[in-house]
Amino acid sequence: MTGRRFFKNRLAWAGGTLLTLIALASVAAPALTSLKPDGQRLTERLRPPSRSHWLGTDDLGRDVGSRLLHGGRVSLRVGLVAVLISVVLGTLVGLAAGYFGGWVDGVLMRAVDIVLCFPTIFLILMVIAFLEPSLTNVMAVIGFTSWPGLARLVRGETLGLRERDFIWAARGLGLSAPRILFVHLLPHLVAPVLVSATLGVGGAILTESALSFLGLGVQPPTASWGNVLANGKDYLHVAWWLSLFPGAAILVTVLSLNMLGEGLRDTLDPRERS
Amino acid sequence: MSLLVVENLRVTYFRDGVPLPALRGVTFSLSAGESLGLAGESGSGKSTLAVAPLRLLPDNARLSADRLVFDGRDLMAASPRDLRALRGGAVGTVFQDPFSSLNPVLTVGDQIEEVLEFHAGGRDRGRVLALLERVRLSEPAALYGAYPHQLSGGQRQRVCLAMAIAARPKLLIADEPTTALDVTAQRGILDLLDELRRDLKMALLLVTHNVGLLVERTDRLAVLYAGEIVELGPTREVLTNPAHPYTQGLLRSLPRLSRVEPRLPALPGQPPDPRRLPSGCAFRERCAQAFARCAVDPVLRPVTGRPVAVACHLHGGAA
Amino acid sequence: MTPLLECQTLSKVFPVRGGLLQARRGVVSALTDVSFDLPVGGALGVVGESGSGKSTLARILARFLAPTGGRVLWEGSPAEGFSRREWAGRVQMVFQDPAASLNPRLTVGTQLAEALAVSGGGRTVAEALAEVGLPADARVHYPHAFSGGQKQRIAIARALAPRPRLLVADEPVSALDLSVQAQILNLLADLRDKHKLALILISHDWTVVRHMTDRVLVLERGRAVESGTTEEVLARPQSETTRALLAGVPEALR
Repeated sequence: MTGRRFFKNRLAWAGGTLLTLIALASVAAPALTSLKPDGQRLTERLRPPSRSHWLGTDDLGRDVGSRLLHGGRVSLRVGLVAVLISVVLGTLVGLAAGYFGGWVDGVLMRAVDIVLCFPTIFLILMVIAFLEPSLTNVMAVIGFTSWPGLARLVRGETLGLRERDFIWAARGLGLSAPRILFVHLLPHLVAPVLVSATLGVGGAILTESALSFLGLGVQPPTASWGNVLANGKDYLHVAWWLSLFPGAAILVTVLSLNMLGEGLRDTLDPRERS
Repeated sequence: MSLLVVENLRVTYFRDGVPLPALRGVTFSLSAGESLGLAGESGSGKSTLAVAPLRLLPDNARLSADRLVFDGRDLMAASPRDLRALRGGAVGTVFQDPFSSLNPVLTVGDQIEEVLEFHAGGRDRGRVLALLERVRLSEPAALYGAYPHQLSGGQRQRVCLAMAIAARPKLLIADEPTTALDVTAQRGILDLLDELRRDLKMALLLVTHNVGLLVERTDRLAVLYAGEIVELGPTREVLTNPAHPYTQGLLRSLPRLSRVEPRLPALPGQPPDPRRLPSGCAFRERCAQAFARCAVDPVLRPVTGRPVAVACHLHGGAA
Repeated sequence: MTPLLECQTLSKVFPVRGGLLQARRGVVSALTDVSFDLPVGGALGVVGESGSGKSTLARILARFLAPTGGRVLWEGSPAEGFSRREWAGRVQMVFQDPAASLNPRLTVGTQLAEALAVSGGGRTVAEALAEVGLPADARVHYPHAFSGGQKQRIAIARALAPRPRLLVADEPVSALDLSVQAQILNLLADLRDKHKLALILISHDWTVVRHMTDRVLVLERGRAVESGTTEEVLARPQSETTRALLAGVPEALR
């Protein structure tokens, strides 16, 4: 029944379809274009979109379209891994804080507050400054700075669920805390966490783009939407395609993720009240 | 002359395209000043019946009726404006949960004033205080400025009653008005309803799942089962000498104060799911006296020699 | 003979917090000096209105709450001496709303299996279901597929799975349809006889208490205002509360 509602929800449909196309395109990148993202052709520098280069070339003669397709893999991977880290961390912290309460809750929530106090970008910049910019570090850093929001969400849900009769009944049976947390409570958290995670992927992609734009994320020659965009800013007046297309890629992806997230929320929310 | 005439009322809800029949051809009438109790369990359609005459149904509901007339006015043809004028005006309603019936951010006084403004000529603090007294609330002046969460359940329900009678309605519809209240508060509200009915000469439609509450509170009683009226007659008659196997079985199964039996004669099964109604008589599967003819849905008919009507082939006679 | 359960001057006080720093502003006394004994296999009714403390008492007996005063003894030993699991094998609770007391995201089978595991297995889910009159294939379904009465049967099966000797039933039929109440009351009575269970039945409904119990305790605002055999209290109510509660029983059900 939930599946049926999902498919009827146009927002989720549209977002999901678009996202699938983007993901497929990225995964199939090598198959879709014979042009290598790193292939420099200095005779072809800064060419506008043409039949041989659908999205034009950049300052080193590399095909923009190919760079974007391959860059998509990077950006999506960052988004997914970062969100995965934050989901795992955030859920564990939120569950523990919400279920055990007392000093556990106190300590964990203070940690959450501390991380939330820092403007995310500055925190990330500080960390990256100490470590070297690399794909792995970027994913880790974004993940480790975005878990607090999810932790708060999970904690709130857990606090509410904890007082429900079926949790009391489980405790009355003498079931262990891990069993209650992971078998009884966790299924109820899937819906809100999924919605938050979907929206979070979009946020992570934007952050990665910003980092790469600043030169602190994915390093050339590896392409990512952010660093292609960064490249483009120096040639804004002469090569508009270098900025427009990566920007559009980021926009469309984040938008479709948001639509998917909103659609999921609509589908899953009323069902939550079982 | 009947105040309310309902003939062959059918209401179906649609969820995800699946039809859920709530009322399947209900017919009854109510005279001015008369009180009718509607008793039923889950799936009986009683709550739908409480709001259907005023067309207060959600968007996913489809309503049809051969006749739906209130005070001479055809409700099927009424415009939304006419209906709005009726609701809270000539027809007052009180629902089950007083907490959600009242706006938590407005004071008691404000909310009653609102009703007066729309239906009774205009705001008037004096009238509000008089109404609060009328529903036997002590310290009306203090309550005037209070917020709903500051009142007890019983008090809130009395405030809802005050709002319902503010425009001196001809008909009051009360849907489970005491279910959310304590036992002692319940009595108070029911006594108050009696009193108001007599003083204001209102007709009363009282919907409840607790059949026992209706004795001495209502003139007539309609027993609802799976969207149809299966028995209808003077309350005392129906409760002391039930004709329909459902009413009989239900009353027999209830534990009493006066006698103790080791096992209660329980009705088997459960009320039918509106999505999967059996063909023929909806009570067939639970009825010990079902026979071949029950494959055809019985019609509500008067029982010869008694002032009750019953929908059961055991009492079949000429149509 | 040592009583199965003894409650001695039980009290429960909740702090009232308020203000910016959530400082303690005062206390709410949910229970004050409540005492009673329950013999092996006995059936005690606890009657009162909301706010009388009857639900708090139930939660203390199920050890969801600890009393702030007094103590609970099981066959003479203090309740705190038993581990959570040990207590689960002695006292189980049946809740008022069966829809809320079953986890909507887990199948009936999963929930019954884990309850059965508490007593060390021995019985199958199918047997547990059969005992409450439900077919074995109920185990694959989720709670929402069942009616109110059926859900309560499942909840009762779960409560009985650890083989407790005392069942605390908090308004077990109040949330159910009238035509189904008798079935559940009969089921409870049958299971009581079969397993020699002691029963503490919490209810505001005197007709249910009359039917199921032989002794009754009347609570008002946390205090016991009357106690005795059910028959006696009904015939000669001593306190105002009891009289008021009795007056609340509709004529038709006397």
